[in-house]
Parts: sequence; C-alpha cells; structure tokens
Amino acid sequence: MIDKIAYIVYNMLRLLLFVYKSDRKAGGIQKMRMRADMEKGQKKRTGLQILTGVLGAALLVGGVWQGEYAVTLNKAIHICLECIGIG
Amino acid sequence: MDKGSRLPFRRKCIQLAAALLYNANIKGFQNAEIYKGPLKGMCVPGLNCYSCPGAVAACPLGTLQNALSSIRYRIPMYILGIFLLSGLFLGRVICGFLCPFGLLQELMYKIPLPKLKKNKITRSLCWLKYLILGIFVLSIPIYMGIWNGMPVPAFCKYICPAGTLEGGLVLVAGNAGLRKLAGGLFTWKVVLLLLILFSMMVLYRSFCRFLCPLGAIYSLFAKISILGIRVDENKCSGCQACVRHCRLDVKKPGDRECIQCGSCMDVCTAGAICRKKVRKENM
Repeated sequence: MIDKIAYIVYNMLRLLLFVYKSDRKAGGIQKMRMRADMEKGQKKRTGLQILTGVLGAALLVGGVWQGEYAVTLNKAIHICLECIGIG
Repeated sequence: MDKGSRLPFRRKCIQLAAALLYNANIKGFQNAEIYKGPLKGMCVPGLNCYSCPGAVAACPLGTLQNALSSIRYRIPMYILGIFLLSGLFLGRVICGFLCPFGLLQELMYKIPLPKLKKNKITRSLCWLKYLILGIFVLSIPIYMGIWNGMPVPAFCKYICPAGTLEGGLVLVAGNAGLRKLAGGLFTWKVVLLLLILFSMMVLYRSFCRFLCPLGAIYSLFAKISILGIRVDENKCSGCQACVRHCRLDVKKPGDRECIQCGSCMDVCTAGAICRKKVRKENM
C-alpha cells in the first residue's frame, strides 16, 4: 500500500517538475522573442537615426550653399513687426 | 543628496544658462534695439523671438515661417536641416532644458495659486498644438507665400506670446515710433499673452503642452532622438508611479508629450527609467 502511495507521489512530483520546466522554457522562449523584437526595433531606430542625420546634414549644407543663411540673417537683423504685434 | 535629487537644480541651471546665452545682448534692452551681428543668421533650438532686444540668434519658428513663405522660389533646406538635426540629437530635451519660455512657465507655476491637475481634457487639448502647427506655421505661410506672394508668419503674428513678451513690450515701451504704430493687433497679442501667463500659473507648462508648435515638431522625434529618457521594459513593473508623478500628459516616460526632464527617475522603485546614453551598457 505504502509502495503504491510513494509511487503516486513520485509520479505527481515528476509531473509537477515537468510542468515547471516547460513553463520556464516557454518563458525563456518568450524572453528570447522579446529580446529579438527589441533588437529588431533598435536596428530600425538606428537606421532611422542615420537617415535623419544624413538628410539633416545634407539639407543644412544645401541651405547654406543656396544662401539661406544670408536670407535668415537679413530677416533677423530687422525688427519683425508681425512678431511683436505691430504689422 | 543622491544623483536623482540634484537633477531639478541642474536642469534649472541649464535652463537659466540657455536663456542668458540666447539673450546675451544686454545692451539691446537699454537702447531698445535688436542685435544685428552675423550670429543672427543661426537658429537657437528653443523658442526665443529674434525681435527680442537681447536675442543673439534667430528663432527657428520665425525662420521656418518666413522660409515657407518663399517656398515658390526655393525649398527651405537650411531650417529643415536644423530641425532634423536638433530633433535627432536632442528632441524634446530642448523643451525641458533649452527653452527660455519653458523656464518662464515653470517659474510662473511656482506662484501660489490653486492648481489644475492633468485630466482627460488636458490630454485632449495636447492635440491643439499640432493643429496650430498645421494651420498657423505651415498652411497659412505657404498659402500666402504661393498665392499672394507676401510673407505672413501667422503664428508669430497672431499667437506667439514669446514675441509679445520678449520683443513687443520691450520695443514698444522703449521706442516712440513703434508705440505710435501699435494698434488692434498689438492689443490682441497683449490680451492673449496675459491669458497665457495666467494659464501658466494654474496649469503646469500650459503653453508648452497645448499651444507650442515647436514642441509639436520636436515631439515627432521622440522615438529616434539620441538624448532623453527611456523605460527598460525588462525592469518595468507597470506600476504607473512615473505617469502619476509627471505633471505633463504622458502615457509613458519618453513619449511625445514627455519633455525628458527626468523627474520620474526618482519615483521609479524598479529603476526602470534611465537616460538613453546608458542603453548599450544595460543590454
């Protein structure tokens, strides 16, 4: 009788251990997926950052080259009547 | 004093330094005249009217509107480049650390008056700044520039309280010629300025949250800006203590409404909120 109970308890413990291990494995897979998603997101973000940086620098240089710095300067050294609520 | 508790003081020092640097032409306030040096062709990242007697550089919003007004002659590459680079490197860190008008709003909020807390209405009002950006900063200057051939910086003309406060009041007070020209539009801008100043006393950074189109532009860079704060999703317990602590209408630290001030870092018990620069060390 005791043998049978011990056998049942032993199998139940094995079952519990199996469930626990599978759960951890599933969690691990989920974490791995999360990490992969994060890395994918990070790569996408880095790509966007490079694109924005290159585009921004190109536009800035292009703007200075076509004389927009002088245009901005010309506007800014005169009182902007609209800005102060006159014009 | 731990690292986190020193942050508000440091931020105030940076804000003050930026405000002084943008308005370093002290002599201009005495003579009621604006600075006319070569630096004025550059744009500062924050909202600072270039008709302010102290201003040593141009305002990005004013420059954008004027450039859009002449879009039929040339594409405004210079100012777009400045916005892309400022947004990429700093994003809304500019609002939190480098905007003189932001500093003014925070100081005004310290005036002891009953305060209104954030709610669903303030959250909805945050969309107003995108509407102002679309209509007053982009559409009207482009429309008037293309079809009427005249530059109309509509946001500066009808709304901008920074222009009225920093430029208008000082110049009109000190210049008799300008005083004679001041009419209905000036009255409208002064009334609007007073309303906005009052709202700053009862609502934290009200202009920044609901009306500022510059903040709306920088908010578009929230996800890609190099500086700022971020949430480590692995450490975050989802307790929402950071969102409850923040006086802005954020849904999550570092989102489009976040000015990256970092005050939520102190309240996060899980230590999940950190500066973006430490990203690689954590991974």
